[in-house]
Amino acid sequence: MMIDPLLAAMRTASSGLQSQSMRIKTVSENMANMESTGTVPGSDAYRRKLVTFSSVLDETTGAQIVTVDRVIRDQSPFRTEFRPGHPAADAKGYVKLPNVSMVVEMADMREASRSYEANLQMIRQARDMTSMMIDLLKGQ
Amino acid sequence: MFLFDVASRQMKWLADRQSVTAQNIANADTPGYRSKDIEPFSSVLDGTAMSLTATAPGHMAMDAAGPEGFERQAGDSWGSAHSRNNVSVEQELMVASSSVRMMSFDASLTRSFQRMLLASVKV
Repeated sequence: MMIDPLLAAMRTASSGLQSQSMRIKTVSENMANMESTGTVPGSDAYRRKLVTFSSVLDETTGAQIVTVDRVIRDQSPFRTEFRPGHPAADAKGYVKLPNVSMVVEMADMREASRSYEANLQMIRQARDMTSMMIDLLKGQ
Repeated sequence: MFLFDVASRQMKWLADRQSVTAQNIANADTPGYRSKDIEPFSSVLDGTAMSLTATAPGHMAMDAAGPEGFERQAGDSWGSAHSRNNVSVEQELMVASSSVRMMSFDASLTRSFQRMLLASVKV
């Protein structure tokens, strides 16, 4: 392990920032597409996206950093609504609406931003520790 | 100087610990990840830390308390989630801030040692 552990800490925390911002991006995609239906009768609506995380070994630092593993689609059933005039309505007049719930997305967003803050705090602290070391060289 | 040695070893240890804490926080939402910690400083100082010894020229040298860390025991971690992830962000932030505090203490200690040394050198 030849790299400075504080640099490794910053590298790891920045991987956390990257992954959490990817998660926020996915949440905002879901929110934006809350009403995106199909256009052909009986067609599927927008399916909610989910990110999965996995921890991988970073070769340069030797630390376990986090990456976005895959973006998967939520397979839960669509909401349906009776809208006979809609272009995506099936023979009975029901339209499939995306399986996005505002409450779930908000909770996900809060958790992502909380994790983002925690990672940011780690970077700040590692930087403070590094500057303490540099200050030692400055003498009195 | 023994005084400088203790302070710099603790600073090295704190930097390693900060790196492991950063790993824990980054992986706070990774399913199956178990939170990690490194050997306590007292065992590093006493030389009781388990270290690998190179007994043949082909062996790679390894640090005893590297930034890899080991998994925390079941009772030592505050968090538990359905996904078998036991990272508690609160706990990690407490560890991190105590590391920063200790680092600042060590840095000012080193500075005062240096002043002592300079005071004895100057006439």
